[in-house]
Amino acid sequence: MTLPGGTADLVRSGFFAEKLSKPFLMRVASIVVVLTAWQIAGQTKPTFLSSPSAIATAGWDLLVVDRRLLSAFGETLVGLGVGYAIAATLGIAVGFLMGRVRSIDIALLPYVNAMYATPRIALIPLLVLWVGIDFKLRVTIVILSSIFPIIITVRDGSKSVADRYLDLARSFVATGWQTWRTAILPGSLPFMFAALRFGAQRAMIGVIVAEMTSSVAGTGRLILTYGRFFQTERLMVPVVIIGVFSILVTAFINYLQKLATPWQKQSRGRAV
Amino acid sequence: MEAAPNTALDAQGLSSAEALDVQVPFLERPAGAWVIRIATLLTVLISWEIYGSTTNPALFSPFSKVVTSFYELAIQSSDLWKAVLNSTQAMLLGFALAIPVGILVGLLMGRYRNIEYVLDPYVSFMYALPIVVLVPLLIIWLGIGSSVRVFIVFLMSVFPIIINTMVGAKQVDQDLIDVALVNCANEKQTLRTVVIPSVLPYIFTGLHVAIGTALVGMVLGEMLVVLQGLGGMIVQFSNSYQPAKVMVPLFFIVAESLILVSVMKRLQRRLMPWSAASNILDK
Repeated sequence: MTLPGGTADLVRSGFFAEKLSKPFLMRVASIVVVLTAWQIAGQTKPTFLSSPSAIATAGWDLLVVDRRLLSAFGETLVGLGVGYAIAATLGIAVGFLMGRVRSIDIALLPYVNAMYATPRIALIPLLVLWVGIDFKLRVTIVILSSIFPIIITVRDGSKSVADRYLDLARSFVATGWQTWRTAILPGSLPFMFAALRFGAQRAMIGVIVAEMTSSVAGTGRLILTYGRFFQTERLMVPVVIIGVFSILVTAFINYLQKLATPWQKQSRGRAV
Repeated sequence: MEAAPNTALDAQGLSSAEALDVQVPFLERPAGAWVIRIATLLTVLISWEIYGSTTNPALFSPFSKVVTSFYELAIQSSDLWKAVLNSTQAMLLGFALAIPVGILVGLLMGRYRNIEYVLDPYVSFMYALPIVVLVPLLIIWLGIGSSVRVFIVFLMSVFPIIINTMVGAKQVDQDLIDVALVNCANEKQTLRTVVIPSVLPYIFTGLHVAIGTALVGMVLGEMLVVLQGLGGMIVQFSNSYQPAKVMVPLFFIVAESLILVSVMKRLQRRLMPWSAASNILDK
């Protein structure tokens, strides 16, 4: 990390002392205290709590020596990626159509709302009957989990483009396509990224639940198996990996948003 | 349910056309909207019926069969209502625990920097983590009784409440706090007269999200662990290849979520008439 002006300057100017050090140190201290307490408590009840060192050892085993987790996580990721790509493309298209074409909105809204209100994981047992328990199930549940939040958010976003921009476009006799490109699309970009974040979270839940209830492989199944055999330290490895992965996905979408909407102040993003 | 989006549409879609005195096409007038709605509904139901009666009945049922199953499960016997009661109790218990904990932790994290620094790493991690992955661990901790389901609901709903409350508590208008300070308000008075009223809309946004996740938690706990209630019914009927019956508990879950959301909206309007319809997206 090279900071402008050099780290030494920052230290001298008191940047670390004032802005960085306290929150940072407190977070680190908090993590150290919790991990130490966990380590000590874990010694007494290993199946119940496990311990950070045991989890690290198990992580080394599962990721480097054995690699079983890597292949399982890979399978999960492929289903997740394919399903999410389809859901994002379709969801954004349908969302825009519903937001801007009134008759389509009227026709589809009751169904989209109903599906949005349904916990889609409750559909998994039915989906197993329809598409089986493997790759197709993952893709289907990922699509179902993520497409409706995406549709609804994009729809709301494309509706909420401020009238003054549309009026401006009309005043300049913009064609339909020009209005789209210069007013509607940029105006709804923040919602689109919120939709993508929202969809990614739901997709993740969907794929893991699908794997836990039915699939023969994948990360969800692996977690369930370790749980059944009371291998708590092994169970925690995919839990940590999935947590970190979710954080990275959100951060990546935030980064894309920053690139796509440079005019926006980047302050929210987490509370959606 | 349908009234709200329509008024929004009227406000946006029609205002400019009407202002310019343009003839509004038939399909965009209220009568036309009903034509579209009824036509779509009929198309959906008829194609469902036709497709359902021509495919393997073990996999997919026609709409009429779903209606008969509804009659069997909900009116002829009381199984379904027992399941509804069973599920709802667990869900409401978990949700009721999550509300005070979430609001308290959120307020503390939003108001006191030090508490935020200490708790932030865990709350952020847990908020990002799909809570489902913890279910096997929760089984090790709590067994497979009903308490697991309550705890899953609690975990699924507490973090959205914490995060939204925290964001709200941070965005309290500094001027208002200064006014409280100038008037020598103590911490408790500031909290009651300034902080809570400004945070309430955010808390409700959190609760709105949390209702959805609480229901997901309920179904999850029932499908993966306890095999009771509505989620248990879904698994049981699917495993015995009765797709028509699966639709009935599904329908009740949807109805439950719609009812809870509308109760929440009404409560929000009652408690804070000053904040008009606030969006799920934080603004």
